[in-house]
Amino acid sequence: MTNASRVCTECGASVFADAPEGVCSVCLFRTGLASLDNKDDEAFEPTVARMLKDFGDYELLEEIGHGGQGVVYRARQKSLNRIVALKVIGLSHWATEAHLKRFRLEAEAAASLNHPCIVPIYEVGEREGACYFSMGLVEGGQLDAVAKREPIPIRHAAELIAKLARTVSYAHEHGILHRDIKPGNILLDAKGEPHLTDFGLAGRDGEHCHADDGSFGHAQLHGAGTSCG
Amino acid sequence: MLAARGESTEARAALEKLCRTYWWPLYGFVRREGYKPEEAQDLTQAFFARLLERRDLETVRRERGRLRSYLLASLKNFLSKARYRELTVKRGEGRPLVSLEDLLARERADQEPAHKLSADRIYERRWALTLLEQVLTRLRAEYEAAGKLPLFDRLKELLARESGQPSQAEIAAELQMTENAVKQAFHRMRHRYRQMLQDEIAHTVAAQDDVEDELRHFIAVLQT
Repeated sequence: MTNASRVCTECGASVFADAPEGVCSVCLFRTGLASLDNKDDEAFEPTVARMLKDFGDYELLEEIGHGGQGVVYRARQKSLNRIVALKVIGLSHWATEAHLKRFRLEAEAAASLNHPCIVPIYEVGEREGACYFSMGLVEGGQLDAVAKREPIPIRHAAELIAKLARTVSYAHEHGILHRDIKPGNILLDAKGEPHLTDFGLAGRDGEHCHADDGSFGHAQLHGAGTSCG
Repeated sequence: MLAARGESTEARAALEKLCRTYWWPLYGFVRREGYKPEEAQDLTQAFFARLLERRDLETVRRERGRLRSYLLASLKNFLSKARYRELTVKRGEGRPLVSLEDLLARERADQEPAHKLSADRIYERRWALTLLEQVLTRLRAEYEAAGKLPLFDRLKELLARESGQPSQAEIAAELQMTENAVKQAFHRMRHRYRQMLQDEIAHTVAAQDDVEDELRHFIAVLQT
């Protein structure tokens, strides 16, 4: 993988020389995600290009993040003429009903909270097979990226931790467990104030936890792993 | 992983097969930790040997875990103890599961930029690619056995849906088939591919529900 042989024209991922059969591995996994029952993916799949052109009340300006839980766009909400962050899932063929359900639960969990250090949810909706929600746009960057650029003074770091602890406590008081708190899910605004986001793995007290990236499972398994050798 | 649980001969054979299949990610992790090829080979073989001795994959099932995460956590623990003992793992310890030829052949082909990827990232990336390779190899073998290798070679590119690939009409003309026949053939191939992919992942997770999460994890790993 010293150099990408090429870039996939479908998803933009790098395709390296060691890709099995020389085909884009990301796309192959996405194909695998589609339901075995789908007779013809293309029939119901809106193209990304068409969705980007016309997304109802939202004009999509640029992609600002993506991951297993969807794609986040910087967008303009036409009716209120304001800039928001718009998280969308279902634009491609790999979003299954189970994932859409989890996506909706994320929106509901975050929307049930009203706290200055939690990114507010404005609107939840569906459009042409895609599920979306709009939220406040925090443009200062993710805490991990900010901390990599320059060290955070100890006093400021302590203040951030205290504010986040109070924020998490507030969420817990309202029965919401975030379950994926990490620097990448903490956004800093222009004033350096922290905002907790990405409730994609959140759940109500007592619900079963189900992590997308194996992080929770890994934490559990660490204990198991220590017994070997 | 369902077949690899328990203590029967079959379970042991299934576990050995899983180890042989997924040695490349583990070996890559050990190499990225700074061990020389010979040391990494010995450590990887010894790790497998001890894993098979313990036969404790039941723990993974009990904790709703994934073989991928379990093996990595176990390997890290094994390496930390190996370091503590100042590498008392001896050459040839345990019955080698992976042939030296396989290790060396793959070693030469390894192309990750070691200065850019962490050991964990190399492991995750290789795991995803190994799994995909397994599936495509089996799929290719099925087409070869049916005397349809040229069809596989043309249709595999359509699985990824990249633009710029030959259309089904062009493939039909090239292979002297009707366009409808190619469409049907592709539909069957895609269906079979999904089945095989999901089955392969199911061998490495405790619950069928985890298959989808593993797929999403692989996409995220390979995208970044």
